[in-house]
Amino acid sequence: MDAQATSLAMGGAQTKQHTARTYSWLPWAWAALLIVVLAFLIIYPTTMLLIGALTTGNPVVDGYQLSDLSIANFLTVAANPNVASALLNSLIACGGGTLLAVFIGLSFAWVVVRTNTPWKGLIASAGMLPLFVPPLVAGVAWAILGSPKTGLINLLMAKMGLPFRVDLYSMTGMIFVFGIYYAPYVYMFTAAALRNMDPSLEEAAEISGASATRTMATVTFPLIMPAIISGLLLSFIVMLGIYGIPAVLGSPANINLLTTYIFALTAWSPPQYNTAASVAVILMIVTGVLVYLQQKAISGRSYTTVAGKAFRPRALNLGPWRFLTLGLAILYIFIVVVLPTLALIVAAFRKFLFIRDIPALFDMSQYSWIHFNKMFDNPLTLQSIYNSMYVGILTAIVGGILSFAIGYTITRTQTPGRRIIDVITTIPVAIPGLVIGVAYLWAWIALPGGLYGTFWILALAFVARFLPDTVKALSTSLMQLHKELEEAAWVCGRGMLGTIGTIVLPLARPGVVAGMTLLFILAIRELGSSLFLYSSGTMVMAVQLLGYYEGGNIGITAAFSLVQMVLLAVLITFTNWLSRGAAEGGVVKTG
Amino acid sequence: MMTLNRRHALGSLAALTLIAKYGPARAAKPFQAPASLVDAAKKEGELILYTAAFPEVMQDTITLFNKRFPGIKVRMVRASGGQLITRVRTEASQNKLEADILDHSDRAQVKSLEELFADYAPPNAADYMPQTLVSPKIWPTITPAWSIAWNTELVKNPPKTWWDLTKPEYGDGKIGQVIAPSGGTTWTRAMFERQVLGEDYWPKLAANKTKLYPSGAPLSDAVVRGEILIAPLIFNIVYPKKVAGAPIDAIYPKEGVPIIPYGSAIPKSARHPNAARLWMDWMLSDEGQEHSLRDQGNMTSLKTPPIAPPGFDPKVDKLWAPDAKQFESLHAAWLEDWNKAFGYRQ
Repeated sequence: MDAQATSLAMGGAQTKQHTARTYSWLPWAWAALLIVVLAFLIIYPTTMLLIGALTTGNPVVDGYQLSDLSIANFLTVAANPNVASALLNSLIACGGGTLLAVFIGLSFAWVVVRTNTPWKGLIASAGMLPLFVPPLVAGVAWAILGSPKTGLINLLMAKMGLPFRVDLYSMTGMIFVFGIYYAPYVYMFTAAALRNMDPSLEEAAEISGASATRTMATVTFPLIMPAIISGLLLSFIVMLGIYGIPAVLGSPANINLLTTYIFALTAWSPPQYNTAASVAVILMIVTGVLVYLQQKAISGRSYTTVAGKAFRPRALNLGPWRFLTLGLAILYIFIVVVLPTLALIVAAFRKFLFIRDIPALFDMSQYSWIHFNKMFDNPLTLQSIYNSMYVGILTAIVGGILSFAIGYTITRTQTPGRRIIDVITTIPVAIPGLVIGVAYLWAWIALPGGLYGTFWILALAFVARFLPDTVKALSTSLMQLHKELEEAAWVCGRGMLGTIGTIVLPLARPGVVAGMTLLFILAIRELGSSLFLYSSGTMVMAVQLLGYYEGGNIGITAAFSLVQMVLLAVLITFTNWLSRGAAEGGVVKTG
Repeated sequence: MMTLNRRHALGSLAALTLIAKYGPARAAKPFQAPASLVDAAKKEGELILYTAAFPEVMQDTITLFNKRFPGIKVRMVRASGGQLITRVRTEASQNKLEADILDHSDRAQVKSLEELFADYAPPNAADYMPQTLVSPKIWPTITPAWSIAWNTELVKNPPKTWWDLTKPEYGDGKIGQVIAPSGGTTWTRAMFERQVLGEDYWPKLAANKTKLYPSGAPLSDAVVRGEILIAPLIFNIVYPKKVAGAPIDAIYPKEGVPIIPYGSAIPKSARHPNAARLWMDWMLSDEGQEHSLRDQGNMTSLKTPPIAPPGFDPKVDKLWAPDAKQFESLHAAWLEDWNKAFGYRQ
C-alpha cells in the first residue's frame, strides 16, 4: 500500500516536472495578458489624462504633438494659491473623516465579530446601509437635518428650549458626514479579517498572562493591521474623490475641496478640462505617496492567520457590558441610518420642505405621493433603473473575474511582473471620477468598432475605476490563506486551476462575494464616469438622479434615492443569502 | 445716492442697445407642419436630443410634443453646460455624434461649433428678435429669465428691484446667490449687474454678505426651506414650485430682466433630420413658445410673445440680453473681479 502510494506520488512528481518544463512560458504569457488588459483599461486612459494636463486642448479633437506638451499649464495650476487651499481643505476634511471612520468602523467590526453583543447580525446588516446612499443624497439628507436655520435637529432643539444649535454647513459638518458614511468601508475590511483570524493566537497571549485589552492591542489589532491600513487608506482616498457631500455642505460656507473645485472647472462654460486634469494629477501624486506608505507599512511581515486548522472566531463574553455595546451600536445606527432615512422620507413625501417648527412636521395634509407619481410618470426613471442593474451586474462579473485573477497573481504566485501589475492596478484610485470619465471618453471613443454608446463602455470604465478597491478587498482575504493549503492540493496532484477551484476560491469566497457586491454598489452609484459615457440608450440611475437634483426638485431626488436604497438593500440581502447558501453547500471551511 | 445710481444705470442703458421690449400683443399663429415633413419624421420614428436643460422640464415638453406628433420617440441625453460641450466636441471629432439636436444655454459655446450644424431656419424666423440670434443656424428654442425670488412665509416685505437687494434689511446672509463662474446663465446676470446697475453694485451687494451656491437648484431649494430668504433665481425654477403651492414667489425687477436665449441647432450628421426639423419648427412656433411661457415660466425670444409671460408686464418690464462679443471678451477679467468682490475662491 505504502509502496503504491510512493510510486504514485513519484509518478505525480515526474508529470509535474514534465509539465513545468513544457509550460515554463505560461507565467510570462499570463503576465503579458494581464498587462495588455490593464494597459487598455488603465494606462491608455491615464496617458490621455496626462496629455490633457500637459496641453491646453482636447487631445481627441485638436490632436497633439509631442512638441505641444509642456508643463506650463501644470505649473500654473500647481502655483495657484486656490489649489493649495482646496488641497489643504481636502486633506483636513478627508483626514478628519478617515480618523472618525476608522474609529467607528473598527469598533463596530469588533462588536459584531468578537463580542456576544445581542442582535449583532441585524446590527451588522444595518450598519452597511450608508454604503447604498449616494454621497449627494447623504449631503442633502444631512442638510435637511443639520442646516443652521431650518435643520430639523435645530428645530427640535428650539422646541425643547435648548440653546445649543448644530451647523453642518462647516468643516466639522463635512468631517462628521464623511466619517459616518465611510465607516462601513473600514468595517468591511476589518470585520473580514477579524472573522478569518485564528483565535489560538489570542489564546496564546492570554495563556501567557496578557489581559484582554493587552491582547487586543498587541495581538488582535497588529494582526489585522493590513486590513486596517487598507480600509483607512481606501476610505481616505475615496473621500478625496467625493463630490456630493462637500458640494452640499461645504459650498454654503464657501469651503472648496479639490472635487468641488474640479467640478466647477468641468462645468464652467467653456469647460477647463486641462486645468481639471492638472488638479487631478496633483491628487494622483498625493494618493501615490499614500499608497507607497501603505506598501512600506505592511511589507516584510507575515499576516497569515488562516492555516489548515479548524477554528471558530471567539466571541468575548462581555457580561452585562454587552448592553452598553448594544446601546452604542443602536445609537450609531440611529444616527447613520435612521435619522437621514427619516429626513429622506420626509423630503420624498412632503409636498415642500418648508417646515416652520416641529408641530408643522406632523401636519399630515402636507404629505402625498406626488413626487413618486411624477417620478414614475417619466419613462426614463424605470429605464435608468433597468440599465443600472444591467451595467452593475456586467461590472460585478467582469470586474470580479479580473480582480480575482490579478489579486491571486499578486499575492499567491511568483509570476514575473507582478509588482508592476500591482502598481498599475492601484492607479485609478487616485483619479477623481469626473476627470477619469473624460479620460475614458478621450481614450475609447477613437477605437474602431462599436464600443462607444454601449453598456460595455460603462461596465469597462467601472471595472477599471474600481479595480483597486476590489483587488484590495480580495487580496486582503487571499493574503490570509496559508500557503500550506494550496501546497496540500498540489501534493495531491491538483494543477494550478484545480487548486484555485477547489481550495482558494471556496476559502476566499467571503472576500470574493464582498468584492463583487462592493463593485456592484459602486457601479450603481458611480456618477463621474457615467456622465461622459452614457448615451441616449444607456442612461443610468446616477445620471438621472443628478438630473433631478440639478432640476431643483428635492422631493423627486429624495424619492428616487429611497427607491435606489430599497432596490440595493433587497439585492444585497438576496446576494448574501445566495452566497451563504453556496458556502454551506460548498467545500467545508474547516480545512 | 439713489439718483446717482439711477443716472449710472441710465447711462449704461444708453450705451447699450440690447435692452428690448416686447411688441404689442397679437394673436398666436396655430402651428401647421407640412404633411410631408410630419410623414418623413414619423418614418424616422426617433429623435435624439442633447440638452443642457433640466430633464424633468424637457420631459414635459417631450410629452407634449408626442401628444401632438405621436410615433416619434424622443431620447434625451442631458448634461450640464461644460460637460455637454466636451461630449459634443469629442463625439463629433470621431464622427460619432449621436445628436439630432443640440440645446445649450451658452450661445457662444454653440456658436463655436457652428461648422457642425446644418442650415436651418424656422418658418417664423422673421418673428425672432435679431439680438437673440448669434448665427443663422442657431435658434433660441428656450429663453429663461432672471427674477428675484423669496420665501413668502418668512419675507413680508420682499425686494422689488435689483438695488433693493443691497439694502441693509436684507443683510447678514439672508440673500443667497449662485456663483458667477458657474456658467453662461449666471455670467449673464453678473454682466447685467455691472453694465446696467453700475460698477458699485457688486461691492454693495457683497456688503450684505450673500451666501454663495454652486448652482441654482440647491439655492431654490434653500429658499423653499427658508434656509435662504431671498435669491436671484431663474424664473423657470421658481415657477413650477409656486404653481404647486410652495412658499416661494418671484418678481421681474423694473431695472431689467436678463434673459438667456438658448442656442439650439441641428447637426449635419443628424440621422433623423426630419424629426429634428419638426421638433425645432414646433418648439420655435407660437405654439411651442406658448408652452414654454405658460407651463415652464420661461420668456421667449419672439418679438411679440403669443401670450403674456406670467408675472411680466410687457408695457413696463424690459428685457436685457448680453452683447454676444462682450459675453466672451469680458468673461475672464470680470469674473475675476466678481470673485474678488464676493470673496469667492475659484
